[in-house]
Amino acid sequence: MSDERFMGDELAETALTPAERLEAMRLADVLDALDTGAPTPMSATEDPELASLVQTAGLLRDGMAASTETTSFQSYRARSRAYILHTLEEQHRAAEAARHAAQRRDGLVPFVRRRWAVLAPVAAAAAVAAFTLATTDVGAPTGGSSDGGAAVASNRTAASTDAELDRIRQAVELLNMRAQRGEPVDASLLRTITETSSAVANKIEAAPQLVSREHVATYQRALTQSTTVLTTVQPAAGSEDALAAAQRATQDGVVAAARYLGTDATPSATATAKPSATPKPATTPTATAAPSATATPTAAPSATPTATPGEGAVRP
Amino acid sequence: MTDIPSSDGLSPSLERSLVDRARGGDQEAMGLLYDAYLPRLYRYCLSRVGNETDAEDLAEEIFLKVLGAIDGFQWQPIERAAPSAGAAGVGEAGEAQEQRIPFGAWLFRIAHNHVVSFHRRAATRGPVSELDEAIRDHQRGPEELTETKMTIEEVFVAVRELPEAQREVILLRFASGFSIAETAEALGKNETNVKVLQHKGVQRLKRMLAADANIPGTGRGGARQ
Repeated sequence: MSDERFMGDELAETALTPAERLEAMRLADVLDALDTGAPTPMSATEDPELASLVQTAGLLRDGMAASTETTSFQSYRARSRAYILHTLEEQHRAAEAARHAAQRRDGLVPFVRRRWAVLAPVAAAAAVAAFTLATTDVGAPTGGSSDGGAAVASNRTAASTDAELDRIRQAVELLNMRAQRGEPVDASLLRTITETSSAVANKIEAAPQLVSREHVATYQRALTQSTTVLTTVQPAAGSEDALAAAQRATQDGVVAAARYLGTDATPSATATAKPSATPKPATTPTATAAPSATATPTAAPSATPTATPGEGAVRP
Repeated sequence: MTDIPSSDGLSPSLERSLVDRARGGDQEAMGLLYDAYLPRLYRYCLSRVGNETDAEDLAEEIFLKVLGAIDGFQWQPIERAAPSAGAAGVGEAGEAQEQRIPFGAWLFRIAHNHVVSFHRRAATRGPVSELDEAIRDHQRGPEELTETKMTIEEVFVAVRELPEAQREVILLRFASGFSIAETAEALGKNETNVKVLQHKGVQRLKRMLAADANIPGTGRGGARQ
């Protein structure tokens, strides 16, 4: 079924007598009047044919409208809305990132071309120097290249953690928006929160050396906010399990973050360790450090605020 | 600017403002456009494909396509070959150039093409399933539910029996709530043709539904005389 055929149908359909054309105009006028609430230029007794067409049109409209008055449609609407907005937001972010990358690339290439005449001799000299240094270091047991590799890996990990934190923040914002509007929250959004929370929590637990203190503090703030909101939101139909999973994941994430921040010898002034005391009695020795954060304010006046509470936290 | 009045939900100025915001990535604006158009689009899809599952998938795909491509939407001047008397001001010099294609018309052009693609894909898989579960849980009494379900099913099935051109007009007018002008714009026809197709479509539906209602044993004879 092509557009060409579509137009062909129209030509066939519009072959009318003047009387039929007049009938068509009258029906359109009456329906327009009904749409706008104006008095209808029609008498059912004088023109029963037109009246029956109007009745059929009313039946059509009512029948079709009823298809979107079902509970299944309302449920679909809520699920679909969240999914579409979430997807579009991700697409928009990806497009923005690609645009920025292209801008950076476009900016860098002309610069390199312009400067190549100047930089070429310098680069050649640097290459010779690097070669000389490398050859003198051949016998060393640990080469500089392995450290460089570790640094690159660390940077990549930090970038991926940033991305995960961004996803958490956006998901929490979306969650807040739904909660404020009193709209049900769909399973896909809840699953996003569960997955991203768990991913970062696992990283904190399994490889704490790969996350920074700022990452964990940001993570904890976002999760603390979401745990509050998650207790108030209304899950969409069939999303109850997803909500329970999201609640568990965010609580676990808060505990993992508190544990990380609590064991560090330099607790920050963000008081982010507070939630660690609430959810679970810790069984690991590291959890005993949690109260140290609450002791921070009292120790603050000391001359070395970062060291003092750390010691106080570890020794007991 | 004199936009064609939007027949359902959003005023032309609000719609334009929302579209402009959505083009800048405003999530709230996208959500409001979605709220305004989803029921209309869903009804259109449901009556074209005949089952809820496919209609839901299609409506979602179309929205993703439309909102994802909203950057490319432009408020272009409307060209009408044969304006009818009902289109106020269209024939006046100058004003025609200031009219703009409504967002809804653009959306339903995309929807039409998407549904056509769906039918092409479905043709390779086999026949499209019947509209047998469209209204499963209508929030009314059991008797009314039965009556409503029969009516809705009959209406949708009858509409699908119409010739293509009539069906498109009937769906945009009665499923999507478009005005004659919006329907004309969405289908690329003039308003007189839309009125004629509407008349023929309603006439044919009246005959089909009346014949259906007079089937012995349905207990519905004469219900819609």
